[in-house]
Amino acid sequence: MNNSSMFRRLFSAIGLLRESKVGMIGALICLFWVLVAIFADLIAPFDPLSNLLPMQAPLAENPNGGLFWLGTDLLGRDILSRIIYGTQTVMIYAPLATFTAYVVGIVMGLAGGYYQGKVDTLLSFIANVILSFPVLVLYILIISSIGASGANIILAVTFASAPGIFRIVRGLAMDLRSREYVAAAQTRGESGLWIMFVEILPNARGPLIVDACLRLGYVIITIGVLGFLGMGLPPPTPDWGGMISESRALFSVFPHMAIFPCIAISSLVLGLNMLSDGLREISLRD
Amino acid sequence: MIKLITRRIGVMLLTMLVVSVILFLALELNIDSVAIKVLGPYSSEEQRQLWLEANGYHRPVLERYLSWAGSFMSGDFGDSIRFRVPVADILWERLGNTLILAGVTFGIMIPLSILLGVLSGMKEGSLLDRIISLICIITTSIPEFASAVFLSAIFVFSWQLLPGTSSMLAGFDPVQLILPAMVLIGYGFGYVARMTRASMAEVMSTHYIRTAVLKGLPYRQVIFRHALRNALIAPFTIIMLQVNWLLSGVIVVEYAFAYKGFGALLLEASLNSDVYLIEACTMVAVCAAVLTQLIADIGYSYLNPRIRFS
Amino acid sequence: MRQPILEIENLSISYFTRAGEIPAVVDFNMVLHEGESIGLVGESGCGKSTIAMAIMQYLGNNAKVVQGSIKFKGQDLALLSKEKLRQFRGNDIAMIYQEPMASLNPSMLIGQQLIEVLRCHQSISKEQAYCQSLEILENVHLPDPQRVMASYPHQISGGQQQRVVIAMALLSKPSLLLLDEPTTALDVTVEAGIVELVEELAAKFNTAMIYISHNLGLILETCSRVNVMYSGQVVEVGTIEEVFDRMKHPYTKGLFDCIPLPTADKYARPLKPIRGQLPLPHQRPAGCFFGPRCDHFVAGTCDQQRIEISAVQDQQDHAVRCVRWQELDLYAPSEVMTVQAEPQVVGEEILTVNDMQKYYEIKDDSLLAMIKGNSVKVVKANEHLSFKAHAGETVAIVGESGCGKSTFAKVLMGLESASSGEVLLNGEDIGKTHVTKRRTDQTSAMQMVFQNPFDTLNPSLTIGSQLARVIRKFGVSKDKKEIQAKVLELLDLVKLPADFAKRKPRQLSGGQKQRVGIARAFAGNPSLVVADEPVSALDVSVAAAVTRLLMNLQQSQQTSLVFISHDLSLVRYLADRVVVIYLGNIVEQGSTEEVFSPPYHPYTEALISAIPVADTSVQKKRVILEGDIPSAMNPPSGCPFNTRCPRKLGKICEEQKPPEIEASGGHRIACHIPLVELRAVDPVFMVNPNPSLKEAKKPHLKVIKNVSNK
Repeated sequence: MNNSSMFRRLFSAIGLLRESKVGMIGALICLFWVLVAIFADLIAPFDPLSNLLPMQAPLAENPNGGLFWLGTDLLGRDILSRIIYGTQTVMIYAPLATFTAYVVGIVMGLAGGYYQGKVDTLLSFIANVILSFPVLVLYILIISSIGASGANIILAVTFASAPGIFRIVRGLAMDLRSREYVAAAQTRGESGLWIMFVEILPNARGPLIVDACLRLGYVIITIGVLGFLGMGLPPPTPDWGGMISESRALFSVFPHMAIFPCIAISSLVLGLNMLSDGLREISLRD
Repeated sequence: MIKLITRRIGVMLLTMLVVSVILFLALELNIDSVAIKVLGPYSSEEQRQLWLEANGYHRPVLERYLSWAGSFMSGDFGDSIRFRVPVADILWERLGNTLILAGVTFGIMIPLSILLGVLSGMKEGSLLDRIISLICIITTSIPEFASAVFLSAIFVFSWQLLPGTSSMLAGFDPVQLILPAMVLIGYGFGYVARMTRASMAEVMSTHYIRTAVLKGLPYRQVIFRHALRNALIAPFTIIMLQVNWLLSGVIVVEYAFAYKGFGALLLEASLNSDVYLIEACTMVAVCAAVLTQLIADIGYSYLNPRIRFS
Repeated sequence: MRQPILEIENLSISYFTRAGEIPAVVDFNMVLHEGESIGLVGESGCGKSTIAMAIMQYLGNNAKVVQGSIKFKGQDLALLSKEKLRQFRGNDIAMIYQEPMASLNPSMLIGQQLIEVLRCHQSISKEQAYCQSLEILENVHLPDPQRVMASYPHQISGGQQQRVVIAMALLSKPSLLLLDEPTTALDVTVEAGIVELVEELAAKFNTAMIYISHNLGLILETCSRVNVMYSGQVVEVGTIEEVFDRMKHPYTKGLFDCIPLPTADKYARPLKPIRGQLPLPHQRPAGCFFGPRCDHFVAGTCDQQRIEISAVQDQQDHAVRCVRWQELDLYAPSEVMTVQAEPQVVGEEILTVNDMQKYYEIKDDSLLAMIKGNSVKVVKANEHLSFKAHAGETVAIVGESGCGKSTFAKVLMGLESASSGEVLLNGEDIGKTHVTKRRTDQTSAMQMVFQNPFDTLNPSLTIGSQLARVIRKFGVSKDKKEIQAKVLELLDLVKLPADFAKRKPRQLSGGQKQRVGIARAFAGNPSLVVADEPVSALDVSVAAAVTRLLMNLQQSQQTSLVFISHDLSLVRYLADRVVVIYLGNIVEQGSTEEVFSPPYHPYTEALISAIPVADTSVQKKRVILEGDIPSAMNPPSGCPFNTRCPRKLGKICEEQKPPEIEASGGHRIACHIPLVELRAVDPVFMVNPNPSLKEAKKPHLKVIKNVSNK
């Protein structure tokens, strides 16, 4: 697919979104955070890692010039700048982790749903075993045994989310494989790969996109939870969950250190959930 | 029906077996690391070998697994490294605390979410529906740790109505349950309510509801006798699967409010590489998840006559 | 005059969508008296179901009555209070729906669903309600009503479900009954039973009926008057005789010319499709809505102001919505449609099916079955199928749902492999070769046209790329430009414009998609095309055009066509040879002429007599089958048809497989009844042998006969 047609499709998708108010607001919130991540260097008032003046309240003035809009943390780092740079962290790891989980889940789901039989039984059992762990228990077990790092978080998310995606894709594939155009492809002797990736997958994209938005939000929450539990990205990386965790000890004195990162994460997830809801509404309408 | 149940139970046992094998292999295949975890990083090589020998770690893996599984099933989970007491001693007490919290949460969350879901799905697109849906989207977007922060800031520090921690050091205190339960309910009810709404809305648009209305039944009878029975089948499964979610949420909430429950125990065990405690906690968690899954499956087929009589 | 049950005056209903107001029904009038039954007939989207819903006051949130009134026994239904309306519904006005399974609550016992109707309209005890419900179930001829009362809907068959719905509607003896396509979802032989039941009950309870259908034949059998609807308007209304024998509107005429009659074949009465397609509600033309598709359209006359419905002189009830009706002679032989079909020379043998069997194994993995050791159940989908198809010949495979015709198609196409016997395509056995193992020339030699137009094309790919893929796959051409040229050629072949190549399937109508499906099947120059109910999901006027296209293509390409269908009128029209299947067994096969005239297999006889015929001059013998089609999992022993056969001889039918009797050259019947006796029955259809006698009753019969023989 060439670039211009991709852009055209993107624009037509945005045009569609206008029909759902909820979806539009969600898209705007997401867009806001994406822009913040891209232009972090330009907007952030301070270096997120440099220790300036510890434990300042919001709107405190920096003696060396500038304003700590949201105050500073225990080590004197500007909270606003850390939130802004934290956006980059979220925007890199969460989509990457979701994407790899989708690749694995889609391949497994297509194979299970299309071939059925033994392949499906085996894949479904594996998925069931993984899903029988409470999600967070699974994360804690994986991270505590392989250590906390960006790559490991992606690995853990893939491992823990792929079974859920597998189930969705499998269900869609099982439904779509009974369509007559699949039968037509079979009767002209197309290979299984062609049928899975050309005849089935493109027609499952609607529900998958809706699910992907929801799941991305969930992955963002998960990364936040891991940070909160002290199992997230190693410090001093600006990470929203980690910021909340670091401020816990003095929460009663400086609640703002935790509140602002919480607002950031909640609003981003809210944006994704609203976007997903809007997309679902639109896809049901047509 | 009986066939289905026996099959389900079989699958459940198989799942448990596979989980236990994976868990055992992951934590105890490398015997040297087990020794280090038990005896600490400063123990000498000689001490470790002695300990391994004494505890039968030089036997073949299969034999070790079988004896481990055997003592596991008889309730002997080994000793906790950190607490220096048998795992069983702390595990059951902590589990009890968590059950109290989970019970309160479910007791409020399920009726609330079903009520909201049904109200919302009864007339899709109405003002009430839109308000409820919006509330649900917002609450499901605020993760537990964030709502713990928000609610503490409001109820503990601004209004000073509730205690900020729930460690229950001075004995059981129901007031200390309020905040953790609120956090869990807040994050969880939206999902169940939305699922109930979707199911209800779907049922309300079916032809058999049209038939019921055009039969001349009063609206209440249409809702209570015709719609609800069908609309609550799908949410039932979802509610049962929420137990799995609740176990995740419980870890965060117990950590946030220093509640002495099962989730905090598991987290602590993981952070301290407390091998036997991790094993016991994980198996208990998985067992709970698989059991509720089983109940969900059986319940679903029982509620659904199309499966019950086939 | 009697007080009418229902009066509808100037009714207009619109849907309000994001695109604006879309009129669904325009200016509808109707008066219905006690015991009378009126038909509403039209193609999909003509507004007929909307009218039914308006009468029930159950329009959706976005639909509104914009004009006019509906009066039930003199009371305007729209002005009733909610409570009063509730009392009318189900008690005075009842409805029967298209899909019986969907209309019954799946998680309530049938007994409960019946009893509550009585209990909410009358103050009677549970016991009384139970007894009355039982009684009504007997009235709709359900076997073992007590068991039905204690069953869930999914535990009884589709035909029985519809009987339950009818019973539910009649429970409180309503004075008005609405039937919305009540038999569309059912098999033909089951349909015949339901139609008979409806007639019987209407007479018994003296209920007024509105019968909604797309099938003119059913309307003829059930109604005394008929409204023909097109695009939201009634275009013609009158008694059955007036509309069927003396039609005045070009659309009505077009509709009749689109439906195949089981009394004539493609040579005697070629179908005349209506050109174009139904206008979308917001794209209706000015003036006459039918204008753009009408052969009698005159610019300046037909496309000006709104056309009012006007009465036909001398005929009290007959009215027509056409400005030119007085000057038109619809029965004049038209020159445009010359007979194009000529008997084909039958070519060489293309397909030979020899004693083919297909058994499925279903694993029963319950503990009990494993202990007993019979963990594998066998479903005998196809038993001993043998027949031949020649080049240029159309062989129809006829049967009701579950008879194994789809399984047979799968074996042919190589999606399943035969359990035994052979399937020879151009002399090579392919019965056990899976499609992925077949050579390219074998797969391209046999292609399939599918049933559902909305499902037959991949929604994500353009029409052009889908056709191009087939051409490349079959190795017709490798060169990009050549493929492109071939795609355009194919589109032209199925009479679609070239720019369709760039379109996505959702931009096409059902008929257009089906044409693309046909083009796809013919892309690799096949010697055999299998068509599985290719027009059953299409509207009458579109179906005729697609049928004709398929027929022309088959003849011009000298392709052998295996036509799988349940529609015997269409089979009679299209096929050269017919194979009748019941529960996986061939019960009768022969040339179309032979199968449609005695001697019949008793099943064929029932099947033929179940066809609703939209021709007043045809007299039909009624053979109504009892019971349901048995499950293929557990077929009856002996003759598969013995459980429903009206001519069952006795024990022998239950114990022994019937022998194949050779009635004549290729005409074979599998039955225990001696050939002489089979020969002795009357033909199912009698086109009245004595025109003068019938003319006394129906003066215009002669005209009709001319039409049908043209």
